[in-house]
Amino acid sequence: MKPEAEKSAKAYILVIDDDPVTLKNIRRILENDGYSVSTFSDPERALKRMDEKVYDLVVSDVRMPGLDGLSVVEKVKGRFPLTEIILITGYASLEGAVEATKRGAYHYLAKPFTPEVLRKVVAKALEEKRVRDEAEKSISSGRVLIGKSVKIREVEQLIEKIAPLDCNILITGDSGTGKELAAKSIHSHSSRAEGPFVAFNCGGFSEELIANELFGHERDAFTGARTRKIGIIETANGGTLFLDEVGEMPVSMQVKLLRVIQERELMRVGGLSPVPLDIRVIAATSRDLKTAVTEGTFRQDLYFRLNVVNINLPSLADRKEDVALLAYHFLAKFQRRTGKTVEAIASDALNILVNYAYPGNVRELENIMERALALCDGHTIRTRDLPEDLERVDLHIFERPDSHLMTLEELERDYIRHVLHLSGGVKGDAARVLGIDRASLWRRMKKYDLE
Amino acid sequence: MFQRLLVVFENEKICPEALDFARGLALRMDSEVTLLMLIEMPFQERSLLGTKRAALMEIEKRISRELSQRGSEFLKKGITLGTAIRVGSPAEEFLKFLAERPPFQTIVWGSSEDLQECGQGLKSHWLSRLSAKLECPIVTVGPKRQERESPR
Repeated sequence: MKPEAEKSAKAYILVIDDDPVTLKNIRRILENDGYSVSTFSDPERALKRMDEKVYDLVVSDVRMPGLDGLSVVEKVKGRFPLTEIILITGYASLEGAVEATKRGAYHYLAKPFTPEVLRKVVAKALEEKRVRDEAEKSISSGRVLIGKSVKIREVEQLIEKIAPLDCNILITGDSGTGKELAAKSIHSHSSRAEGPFVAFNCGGFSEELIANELFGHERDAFTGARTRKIGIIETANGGTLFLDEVGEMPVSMQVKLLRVIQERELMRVGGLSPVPLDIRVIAATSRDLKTAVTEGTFRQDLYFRLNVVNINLPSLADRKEDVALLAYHFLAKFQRRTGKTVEAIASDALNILVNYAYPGNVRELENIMERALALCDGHTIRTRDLPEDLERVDLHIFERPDSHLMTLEELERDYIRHVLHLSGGVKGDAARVLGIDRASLWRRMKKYDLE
Repeated sequence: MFQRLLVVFENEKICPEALDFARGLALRMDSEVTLLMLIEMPFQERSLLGTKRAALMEIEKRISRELSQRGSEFLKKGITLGTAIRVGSPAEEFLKFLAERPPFQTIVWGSSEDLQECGQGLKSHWLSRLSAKLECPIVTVGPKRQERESPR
């Protein structure tokens, strides 16, 4: 390959075989596909070459004088765990294939093979390596929302855009879609990043307990209150308060929370003077708060205060193209945590993962990968390491209509509210921007209860 | 986060695959599980003091036994389990049941795979009509297509 072509090569491949004819054939096939190929008949020399140059893939014969293919796999995987290996052999056996994959080979290819088969296996190995490398990169870059799908990119762009603005945010999405991660991402991209990020789950607590936890109390405020307790809201002062499952908050507590957001101060239980606050509130819910407002279980004024900007996180079933990347991301994450070296997911196992419906969303995939890594006794996650029901059952998730498609009235109401906010509540300015007269604006404000 | 999983059955039909799936999902998501059996019974002309009451009690006894038996597999795996029976119009009873409880994160249809297979019927089943109103995904479970097609 010419130096210019070498630079623009799709990937770097090292081929080892003691048969010069096979070497020549493989080089021709792969170079025609745009890869940069180095060939060696001596495995020891090939391994030395790997010290000088990084290869994406090694294609090696199994039976060779000196070092055999399985030893090549062991040595390469030991020193260059990110490099994929395909073994080729004229003496293929099931035992050999099992042993090769156990040691970390990506594929075990029986000779004779057609150029098409070789092309396919090489392309697949390199594609999986690319996904894995990307997952590694996402871990080291500290990205919290993993994915390349359009939907997740849109969310990322929105987060980047609104994080520096100090407005309240409502994050919606099914359970397990990563609402807290999104909130953390907003916090870390905001001017409050140096301040605290305090999370509180509003679900499953009684009103008294929530009040005590959120607002804290003064000494002797009630029987048993022996010391002053600083509440969660106060702890978040100077930073971000994340209220998860805000739709579960009792209505009486919603009033108190609304007051905190409006007045930027709170009263501890039993306190006499208000404590000034500087917090940004990010709330999250898997419920449809608009419906809760119409049903009277969630205050409309609080809903508007929290929902200055809405971020809707897509479910994993709606971004299937991210499953492989996420699976490798979790694999890399748990590898670091456990110290286990499982580097790949077998293609049939990956197929099962991609085709599953994930009612539990990203959290379910994370749990599946953690379990798979714990069960895996080789270098590759196989179907047997995945929960049986993933493969056995056929799932169907009912599609719910997109609750975020707004009616014209809702759109008009939100836009008027937005313009009023921008104009600082000056109706004349707002009417001018909206292109209507003051009387029409007034009528619409009355209609939408915007006063 | 605390996860709640609801498995809904109708008229004593129980799909083993759905139960197996629910158990696996509960273990993966560290969820507590509620098994809810809905029994369709029109009440307009009934008197709860008459023969219907006896029949109803008999049905409830039978279903309780069945649910506890099925639920034992969940308990063996250390999954927190609750069971419930509602009698009346399935759609109404289902909504009332959801309104009384803290929200569930996933609902698994436990009766059969019919919901996803019946084509035209899919639109007419009360659960598919309700799916748009619910705040969590409804999952129907059936054996893999090739298994269904293979001769038994």
